[in-house]
Amino acid sequence: MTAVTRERPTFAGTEEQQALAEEIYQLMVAQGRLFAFDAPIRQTLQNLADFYARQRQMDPAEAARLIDEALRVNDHVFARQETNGDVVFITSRRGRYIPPQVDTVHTFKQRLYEPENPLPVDDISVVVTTTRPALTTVEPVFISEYWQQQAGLIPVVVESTVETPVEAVVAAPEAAEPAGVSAPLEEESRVAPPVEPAQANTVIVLPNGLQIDLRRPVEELMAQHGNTLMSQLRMAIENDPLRRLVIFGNQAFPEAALVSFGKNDLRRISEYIKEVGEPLLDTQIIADIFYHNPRQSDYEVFRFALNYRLSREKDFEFVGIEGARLWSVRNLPAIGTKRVKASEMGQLAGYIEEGFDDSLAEQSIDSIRKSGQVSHVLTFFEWEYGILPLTRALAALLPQPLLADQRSAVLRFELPQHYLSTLVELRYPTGNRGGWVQGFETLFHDYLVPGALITLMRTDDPRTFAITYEEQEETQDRLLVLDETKKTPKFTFANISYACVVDTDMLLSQQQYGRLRNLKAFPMNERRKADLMLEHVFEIIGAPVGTRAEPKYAASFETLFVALNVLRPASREYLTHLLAEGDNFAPDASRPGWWFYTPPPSPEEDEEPDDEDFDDEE
Amino acid sequence: MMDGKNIIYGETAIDKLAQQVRATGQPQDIQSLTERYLEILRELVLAGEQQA
Repeated sequence: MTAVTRERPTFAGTEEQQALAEEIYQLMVAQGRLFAFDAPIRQTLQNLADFYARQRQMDPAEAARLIDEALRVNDHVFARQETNGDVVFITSRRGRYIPPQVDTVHTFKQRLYEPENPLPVDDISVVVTTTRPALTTVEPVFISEYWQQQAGLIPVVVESTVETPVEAVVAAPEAAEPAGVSAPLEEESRVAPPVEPAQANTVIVLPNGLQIDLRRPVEELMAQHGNTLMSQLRMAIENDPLRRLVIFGNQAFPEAALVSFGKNDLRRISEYIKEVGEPLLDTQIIADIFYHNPRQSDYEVFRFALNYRLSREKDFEFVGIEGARLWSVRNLPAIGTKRVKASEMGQLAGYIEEGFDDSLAEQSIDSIRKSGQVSHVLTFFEWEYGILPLTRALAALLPQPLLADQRSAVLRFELPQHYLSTLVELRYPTGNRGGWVQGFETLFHDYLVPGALITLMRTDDPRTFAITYEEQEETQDRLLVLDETKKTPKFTFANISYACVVDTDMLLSQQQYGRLRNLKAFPMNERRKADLMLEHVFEIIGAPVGTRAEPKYAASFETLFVALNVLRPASREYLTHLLAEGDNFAPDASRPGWWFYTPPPSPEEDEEPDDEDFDDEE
Repeated sequence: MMDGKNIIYGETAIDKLAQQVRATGQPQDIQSLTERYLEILRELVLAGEQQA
């Protein structure tokens, strides 16, 4: 601990003034004896004069004059201040008053924000964390001027001590002016140095690395990078943890401004959909349950809120498209056949996703979109199960999914020739599993046969499509059917009447494809093995050209195509691939379009033919 | 004025975009939303220049 030494001030002036000054000094030090050593001790001249006049029995004005003169002479001890006409003398126990000066040159606060060797700042996000708080409150983050200057948020302030270049003034024409005028000019140039307007950096970098110059007009940017800008903004909004904006389909709105739907509302919607028995439009739900009128100003926001809320509920599934937002619930009756499971059908249609789709060979996507119709020849599999694989041609006609994770859409297909309509489910492809449309079973069985030429077309309603076929006189023929009345399903031929134009090569008549009754109705999970199915089909439909010991079959490509499509869907391109890649298939060099199949010899079967031969001979 | 390199596309000024969309009283499609957003960012980076 250091001892504080008290200075004894020396007083100046005449003897009387010295005595008076010392007396006042002692008086003020006694007054501030408990003050800090260098704390100011203040006393007004008025108080001092009153005290002195009363003590000396003299005129206060005269006392004030004497005191003022004495203390003015000793201004090294007494600081004099005039405030609102009052004279105040200040001293301290130290013997003089020195106003305190706060040293702000090196402070902890300054060192914390302005380190001597700062790290380089490429991005302000290095300094300000982008981690968001759990609560949805946006609090201001203080960024010191130093870092803002480093990041270029604010211009760097030029130090006032920087000298203005004298050359500029000298070189200026005004330099020829008389010396008396040049002095103020120099002062002006010091006070207001010429500031160049800052050139803004208007280029922003998108998360995918694309650089956009915001100086360009918005229309121009949208024309050039519209898709990228929209998808990047959409991605950012969807990933925003604060959900300031939410998206449904192609629309966005602030979540905070949306109407909320309680559990009771959701239960009523669910029960209503189940009661109707099919997916319902959002507009119908709003009208029938919430009695909201489209003429109300908040109708569109209410509609958006409903769609957005339902999309976040597990019990509801969106099965709509752009222009028709349909909602379904769990346990609603399935649309289409139950004989083919979704997982099995996805695998059966997988060849489309593998690139073996030749549906655009005769019709381009543009012509389909322009004409709004697709022609197709029904295969047996499609007719039997009421399923159409979602080829690229069909996909060009049917609507795309509205939501990114949308599994299916429910559409209505009309048969205008018979004033009928049916609901069908469009299952979108996922990964390596193909898509398909199911629900045509009744329509196909009632009015069409395998080989029928049908046309699928759009209507004015985005979710309604039409199927038409060319009519002809009623014909009866024995056609292939799948008999599932017995325990083991089997193919057989039955009399069927039809009144539609057919592709005779694709018509599975007994006369043309009689051998197909021997086809084995494999379970669906086995039919996904296309190579095994083709081998079986080849053995049934192919003409035997080998011997019993070395069996060999020959069949035309078109026959194989028709027969394979009895068991499973396959395109001509896929069939070509199977034949070309299969080890046991070989093209017939003498007959273009014909193929041979040589079954691989199996050790177990080697002996059986011999036995059979023996039996036959017996 | 804001430097372009400090703009995080999809994050900077999203609050302002949300306010504007709310003020319209109608859900906005992604295209018009993107156009609005670009206008906001454009104002941010060019504000200083216009003042100068």
